[in-house]
Amino acid sequence: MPPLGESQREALLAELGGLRKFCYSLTGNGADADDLLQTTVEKILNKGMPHDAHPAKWAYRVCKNTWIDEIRSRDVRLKYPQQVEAESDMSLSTEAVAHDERELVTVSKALDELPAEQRLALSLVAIDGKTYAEAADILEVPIGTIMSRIARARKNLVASLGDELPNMTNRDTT
Amino acid sequence: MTDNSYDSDKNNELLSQYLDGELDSGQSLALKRRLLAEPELRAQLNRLQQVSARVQTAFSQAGLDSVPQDTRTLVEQAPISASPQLLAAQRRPFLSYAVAATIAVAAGVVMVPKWGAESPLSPQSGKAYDVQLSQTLESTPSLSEGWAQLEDGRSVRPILSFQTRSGAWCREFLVQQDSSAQHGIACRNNNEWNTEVLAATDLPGSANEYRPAGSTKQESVSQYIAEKAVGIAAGKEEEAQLIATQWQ
Repeated sequence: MPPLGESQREALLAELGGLRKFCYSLTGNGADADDLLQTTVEKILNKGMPHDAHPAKWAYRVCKNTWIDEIRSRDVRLKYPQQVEAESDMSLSTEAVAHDERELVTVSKALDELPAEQRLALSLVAIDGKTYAEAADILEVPIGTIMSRIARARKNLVASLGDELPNMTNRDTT
Repeated sequence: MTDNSYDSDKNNELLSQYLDGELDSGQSLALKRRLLAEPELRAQLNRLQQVSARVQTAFSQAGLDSVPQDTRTLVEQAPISASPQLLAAQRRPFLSYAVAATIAVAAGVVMVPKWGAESPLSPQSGKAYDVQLSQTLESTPSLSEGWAQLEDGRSVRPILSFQTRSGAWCREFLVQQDSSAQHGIACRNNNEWNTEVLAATDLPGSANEYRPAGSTKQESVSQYIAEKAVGIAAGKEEEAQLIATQWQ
């Protein structure tokens, strides 16, 4: 497979921020997100992509496969609590920030309990704002599969998060 | 899972689609009617909505899309595999200028049939052999500006060198005489450079510089490169070495 063309490289650069956020939604912490992003980028650069490939979709697909094949095969869960603790210590600058970070940890833990395929679909649609069609394209499954995975993911999240801080409108942001 | 309708997979899918804006207007309207009539469905929507909002809010905080500089640098500095023509365009901006939509045959320049030229001139090979052009391509490095002068008054500018899948070396070039110019490709075979494709073009500063591009003949140059070239164009040092070793 050929290395990246110039336009593909530019497109990949433009997509890195979104990819990093996607990585975070899959790994649940910054260090693993950076690792996943780095591995994804290295794979793309080493293996290249077809000239007619959509760079963003291709990159998300490589990221997804990398997460499934490599990152998740490690004992991420064991590493997770230590990492969360370290990150929390570093960034408790204000109460609001602390609240946001605690909330991110809580939500990330809930996402971590989802089956991989549900987490992938929900991350792409609910966090990254992809359409069902785009998510289906990235995950290489029918749209109907995306639909059911997202619905099941939300249902599972209701079970795990539903009884915690349900009132979103009154959150203290000061 | 319960048997209650609000908790059914079907309803969850419907409500999820609604939250994600994936229902069309008719489906949305039908769901809204159901929501008015079915309190349990409405309650389930609220639960899903709250969870969705929570996820979105949690991941909307700043910094989650911060890319480590070393990763960004990795991409920024990655080598690219532009086609030879793209590489030429990067080095020589004039290649991106608009090209003429008509074919012009420059005096002394042979047109070749295989890739866009008008008539065959070499009965033996079906390819054009232009002695002066061939000699120039054999020994002149690619130029980003300036021209090599031929004895017959034409000027030639080799643009770049690339290899085909069969291993043959080819050179993209410009040739001009008076007010007309051509953009072509010649490939080396049996120690001769035979023109494979030649098409009219406009050079910067000419009256036709901003003429809309799209000549099918000019495109034939691109097509030839796209179909024949492998790898990337020879760099300056590699090209110098090739010239020194007579392209062996």
